[in-house]
Amino acid sequence: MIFFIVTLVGFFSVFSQSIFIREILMVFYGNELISGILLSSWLFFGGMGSIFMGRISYKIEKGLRLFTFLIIIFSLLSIFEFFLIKSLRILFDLRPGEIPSPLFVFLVSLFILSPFSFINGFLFTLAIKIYTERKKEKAIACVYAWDALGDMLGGLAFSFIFIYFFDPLENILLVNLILISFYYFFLACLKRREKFLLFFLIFIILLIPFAKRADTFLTKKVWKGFKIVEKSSSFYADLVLTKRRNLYSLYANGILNFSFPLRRDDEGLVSLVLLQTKNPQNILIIGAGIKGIISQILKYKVKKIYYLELDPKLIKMVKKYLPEQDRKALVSGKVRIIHKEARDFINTYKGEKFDAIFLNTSLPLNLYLNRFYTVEFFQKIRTLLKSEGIFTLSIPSKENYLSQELQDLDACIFHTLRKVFPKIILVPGEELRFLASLSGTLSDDPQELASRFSSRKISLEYINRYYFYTKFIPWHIDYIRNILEKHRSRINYDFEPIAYLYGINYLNSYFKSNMSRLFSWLSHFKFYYFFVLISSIFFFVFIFRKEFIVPLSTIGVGAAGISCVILSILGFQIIYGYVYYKIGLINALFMLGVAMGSNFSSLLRNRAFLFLIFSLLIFSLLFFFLPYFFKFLSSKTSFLSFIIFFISFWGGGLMGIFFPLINYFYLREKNSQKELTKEAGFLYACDLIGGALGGIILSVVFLPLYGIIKSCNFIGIILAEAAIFLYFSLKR
Amino acid sequence: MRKLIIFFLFLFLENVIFPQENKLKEALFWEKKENNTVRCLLCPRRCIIPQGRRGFCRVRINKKGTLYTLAYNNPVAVAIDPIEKKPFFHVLPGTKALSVAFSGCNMRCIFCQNWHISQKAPDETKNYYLTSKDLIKLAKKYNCPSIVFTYTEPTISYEFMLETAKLAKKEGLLVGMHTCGYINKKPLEELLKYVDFVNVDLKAFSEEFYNKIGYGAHLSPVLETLKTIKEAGVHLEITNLVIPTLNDSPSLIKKMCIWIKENLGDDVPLHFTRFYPMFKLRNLPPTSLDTLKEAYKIAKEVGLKYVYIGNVFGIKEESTFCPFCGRILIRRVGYTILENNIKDGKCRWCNHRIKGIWSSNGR
Repeated sequence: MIFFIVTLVGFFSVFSQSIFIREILMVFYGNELISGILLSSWLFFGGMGSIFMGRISYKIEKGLRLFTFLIIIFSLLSIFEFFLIKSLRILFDLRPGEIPSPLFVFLVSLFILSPFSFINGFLFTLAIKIYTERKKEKAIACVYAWDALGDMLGGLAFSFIFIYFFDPLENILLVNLILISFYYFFLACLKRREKFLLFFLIFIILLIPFAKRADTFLTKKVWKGFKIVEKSSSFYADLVLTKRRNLYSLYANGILNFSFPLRRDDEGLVSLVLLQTKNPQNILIIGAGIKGIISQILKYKVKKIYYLELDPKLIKMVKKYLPEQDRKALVSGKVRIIHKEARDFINTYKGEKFDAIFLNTSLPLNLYLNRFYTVEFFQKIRTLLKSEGIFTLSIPSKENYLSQELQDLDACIFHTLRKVFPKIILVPGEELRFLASLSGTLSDDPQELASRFSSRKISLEYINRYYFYTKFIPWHIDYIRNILEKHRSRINYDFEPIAYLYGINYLNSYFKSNMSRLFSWLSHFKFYYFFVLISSIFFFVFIFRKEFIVPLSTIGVGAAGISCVILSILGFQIIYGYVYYKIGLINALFMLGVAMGSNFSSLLRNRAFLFLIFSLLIFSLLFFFLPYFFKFLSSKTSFLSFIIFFISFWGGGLMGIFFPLINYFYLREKNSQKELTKEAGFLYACDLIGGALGGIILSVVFLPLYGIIKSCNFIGIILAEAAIFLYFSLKR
Repeated sequence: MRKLIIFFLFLFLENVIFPQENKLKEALFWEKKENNTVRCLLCPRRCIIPQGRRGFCRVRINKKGTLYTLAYNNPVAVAIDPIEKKPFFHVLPGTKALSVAFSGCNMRCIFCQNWHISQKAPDETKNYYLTSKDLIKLAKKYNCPSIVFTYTEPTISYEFMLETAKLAKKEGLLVGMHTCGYINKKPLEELLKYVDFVNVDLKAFSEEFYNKIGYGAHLSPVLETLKTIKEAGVHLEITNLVIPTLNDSPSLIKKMCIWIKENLGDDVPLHFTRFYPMFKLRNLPPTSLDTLKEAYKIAKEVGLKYVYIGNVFGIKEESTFCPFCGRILIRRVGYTILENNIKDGKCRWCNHRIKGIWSSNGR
């Protein structure tokens, strides 16, 4: 029966944490780095909770009573933390639209999330203690497996069901209702009646009808200064449409996507691009087309516009508030809105080639967005473009001075683009716009563009022939081109996402961060230094503190397990495109792997030692082959995509097999329950800390700096060393 | 094109052949305190700087009880811009201005457009090595009738600016600056003897705004600066960056316009410029054109004669109209001047005198 409760706690914790992370990202306008930090701090404090429980376990006599007490605290904390997160902008007096520093977000999130994560880890180890009182043998494997099952169900239920039907506060209260009512039922089965629990349950039920109103009130506080026109959650993001005077702004996960109507900006952009081609007919827009550029493109008498917008909810939400001209443009018959990811569309598109392609995505601030700025993506774009066609995109810049961070980012994109497109024209400004072509008649001469504009006889509200004299100031063009040409920049590839690192560096330079210096220092590190470093750590621990080889290996395996999830998501996104629910599936498969691995390992015992070592070595080898497997898949059609899901399942399986077995061998000589719980808690903490470190180091440092091949090699080395040193330290 | 290449080559050679001297320039306007501590008297922050430390601006450093400036002969940005870009709409329309900036600032605005340089110290950026004489040579070489200290806060390069302005005057060049106006009266008065035109960023007519956004700054010193410039008879224009939710309330704008009219006169050109998501306010939407037009209307209703909307292309509010006969004086489209009907500082049709500097040899 305790397994049922462990599953319930797993369900509750993942469900609540998913809400917290979404809300923190919304409140602080977070990016991938921040969500990575949040996940890591969640794992880290979970680990701390396990260690703490392990250390005090021998003092605990009434385990179940403590468990009940902590369940109530856990539940109350979730409600309290939710309100705290929603009030953060008011508490810290942040101005609307102000982005706080990553350090600030880190410290505040740590403070908020740590009690909840700590209790989560504590409960896990307490469950082991309660179970070992009855059955020592299988305790750890079973608790681990059922917890993983709960995690999986919590993640799936939140992402695929609850989020679409309820507001965040309603969700928090509902999941509390599930936790407390099932826990009450569990105690009732044990013939224990806790009246307090019943009162608490009634209290939660009474709160639910007020949740929607309270949530709206808090959301208004977060969006102070704006009128919230509509808000909604989709598969891809939490969408909020705000209004200030007559300007609407769409925010996805708290980040400003676009504002409308901004007629002058739309007219300007479309003129800059379409005047570079003689007779534009077939146009492709990747993202943000709805805000007004479609109606402007139609003025150039094009035949067809394909507009890729992944999220149908976004279109549905924005459409209602568009000016009539833009709303009519969407149903003109020339426009086709396709709800497909760009890579997916490019891989399957068989129609006429395009005269112009507009890329309107955000900065490469995460691995997903980086894919739109790589050589591979630009090569795919080239296959869709007529030889005289134009491809355009923009990145942050300045026309009078480029800081080191901007030089790195701008030059990286410039050189990557030039690897595919021989002709590039620069339009300097707060955003540097690239106009790229294979053999088009590109011009940055304002006089020439003004004459093209006049001869086309396009009637616009704001833009006229003099606009080009404002955009193409020779001094600024030469200054920027001179810097970009000279800057020795690395090229951005799918599997070596360096632009993502430059993007994060740029964002951090807002806050006097030394991160760019750190990365620059790390980039000079030869890769084999890491091999030497890891080997030395294992070697010295083996010589001087042999008993720490097991925790060290557990950290390594925890990192390898989480790496499988990250690599599966990255590989899937790069090769097949971003499909949100499939990412949910990847996470779920990981947890399923953990659950199945743990169950499988509980069947093994006597000959399991060699099996454990052998498994680690096999997994290590697989990591060495993984990048080549990705590269093989990227040249094939999408029917093989399901294979990537198994990488995640496989990573989960590794964790599932390893953790119970390593516990078994590590704890086999520890007969007292005190020692057993203490060490089990400690190893669980190592596993979580490994996951935390692995997740952040792989996605923020290794992948961008060293690329996928070296990153996989690195994980392979860790696993191989763990196998070798475990063999010598545990063999009898 | 060839000229441009020579220009950059020149800057490059200057950097290589004459590397920046290690000698620091002693700052102006400071006083000695006990224990090798100094007090900087340049701006209203009046930083007390202990030995080895820098002021709020990151530029003025105390070395062994003497205050030095790090912003001297080392501009971070040098460019040639249309003078309308600064913006100066009543100064030599259609001419080029040599724009100069040094790293550092005595404000910490979270919406700064030039944060890459304004929020860094001079030793954190890649700089040119250029003396005042070099700048004047460059301005002459590229037919720029004026040198404008802009992009970052010119006050922090006070010593260099003063030296350049003195030299420029002798050489027949005009000198201008675009400033936040956060400077003490005494240094300002000294500077105004040599500077020909000033654009002051009046960020908002709110003490609270200056306090929060400017990290403990105050509105009153900026207003004092505006009055001092007016009294000195130096040409003045004002820029108000209209930021959604922060300073776009009509009542605030009205208050500001009334103050301008009452204290500086109705003929001070006022530019309402559009905010664009930037720096730490990257998540705030841009200012809508309606908001800007509303601000324009308020200013006109208050009675200000020369009101403009900036950072928006292709609208009539970019142009100058005669306040007397209402006819168009300067028709602007972006940075292009299509028509200029000001002759000898007067409206071509009604002879009404128009405030500004319309020729490089006089005001």
